[in-house]
Amino acid sequence: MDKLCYTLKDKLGKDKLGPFLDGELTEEESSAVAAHLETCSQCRDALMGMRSVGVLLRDDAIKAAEEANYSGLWDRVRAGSLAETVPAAPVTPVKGNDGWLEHFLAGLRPMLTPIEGLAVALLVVGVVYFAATLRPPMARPSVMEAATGNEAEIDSIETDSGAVMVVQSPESGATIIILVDTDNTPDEDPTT
Amino acid sequence: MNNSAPRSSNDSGHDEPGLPDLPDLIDRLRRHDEKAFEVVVQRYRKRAYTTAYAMLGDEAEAMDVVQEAFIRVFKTIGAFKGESSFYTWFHRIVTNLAIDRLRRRKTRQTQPLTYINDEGEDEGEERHEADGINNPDRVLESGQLRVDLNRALSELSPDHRAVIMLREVDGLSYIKIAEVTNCSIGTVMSRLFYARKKLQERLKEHL
Repeated sequence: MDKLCYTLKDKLGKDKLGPFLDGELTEEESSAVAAHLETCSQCRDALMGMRSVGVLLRDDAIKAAEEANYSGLWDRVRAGSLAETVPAAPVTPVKGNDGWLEHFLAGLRPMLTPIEGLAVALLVVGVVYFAATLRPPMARPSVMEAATGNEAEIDSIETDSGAVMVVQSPESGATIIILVDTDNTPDEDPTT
Repeated sequence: MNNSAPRSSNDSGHDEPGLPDLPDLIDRLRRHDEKAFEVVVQRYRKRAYTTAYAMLGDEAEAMDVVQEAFIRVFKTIGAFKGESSFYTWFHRIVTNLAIDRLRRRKTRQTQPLTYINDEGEDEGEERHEADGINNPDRVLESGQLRVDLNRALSELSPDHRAVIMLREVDGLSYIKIAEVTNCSIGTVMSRLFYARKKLQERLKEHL
C-alpha cells in the first residue's frame, strides 16, 4: 500500500482528501494527492464517497428551496419589520438624582405613547375634579377691614382696662373679636 | 484549485441582469423604502431558505429563520458598512439564526443524543428521534433518501452540521466557515472530516 494512502489517515492534519476536494490545498499538495489518486483505488472510492455526500446534501437543500411555499413571506416580513420600527419617542436623558418633577416633565414630551397620554389625561381630570369639589377657604378679615367700621357689632364688654368687642364682617361673615386696651398706665415694675 | 463543484454562494453581491442595482437598493433600504425591501426579499428568499433548510432540515423552521433574517436586515441595515458584500452579510445573519436554533433544539432535546465530538467519538446514547422523520406525510412525499439523510444529519452536533452545510451547500471556504462559526480553521477541518465520515457511514446505501 502507498505510504501516502489518505484513507489510513484519521487524525487532524493528516487528512488531505477533504481539503483536496474543497480546493483548500496548495498547488504542490494538490498535485501530490492527485498523483496518489491515480494509483490508489481505496482513496478514489473515499473521495467519491465524500463527493457523493456533498451532492446529496446540496440536491436535497436545493430541492426543498424549490418546493418551499413563499406565499405570505413578504407580508409577514413587512408586518414584522413595521412592528419593530415604530418610531420611538425621543428619550430625554434624566439624571440619576433628578426628582419626580423631572420625571414627570420628561413624561410630558410631545411624543407620548397612548398609555402615557391616557395616564396624563386621567391625572389632569382628577386634579380638576378634586379642585372643583373643595370649598373655597373662608376669607380672613383683615385688620383694615375691622377698622373700617362696616362690621356689625354683636356684643361688647367694657372693663376698667379696656373692652372686648365681638363683631361680624358683613362681607365674609367671619366673627371678629377685638380687644381694646384703654389703660395707658405702664405695667407694674416686676422688681417692686 | 477546487476539485468539487459546490453550488456557488455568489457572495460577490453582483446583481442579476434586469434587476435593480444592489447599491441603489441598499441605499433605499437604509431609508426604509418598503418597495426596495420587497425586492430584496424576493431576490434572496430562495437562497436564504436553502441555507436555513440545509442547516435545520425542517421546512417550517427554515421559513421562520428566513423571515426573521429579513426582519433583522430591515432593522439593522444601518450597521451594514459595505465592508463585505451584502449577501455575505445577509448570509451570516441567516446562518447565525439557524445555528442558534440548532443549539436551542439541542438544549430542548429530552432524549439522549448521539453526537460526535471533534475527535469523532460518539457522545451519549443512541438518539431515537431524528428531525422530521416522525411526520408520515413527509416520509411519503420525500422518499426514503430524505428520511435517511435527515436521520443521519440529526446525529451530527449542531456545530458539525453547520460546518458541513456551509461547505457543501453554500460553498464557503474554510476561512469563511471559521469566521461564521467562530472557530479555528483546524476545527473546521476536523469537523468536516468527521461529519463526512459519519454521513458516509449512515448513507452508504444511497452513495
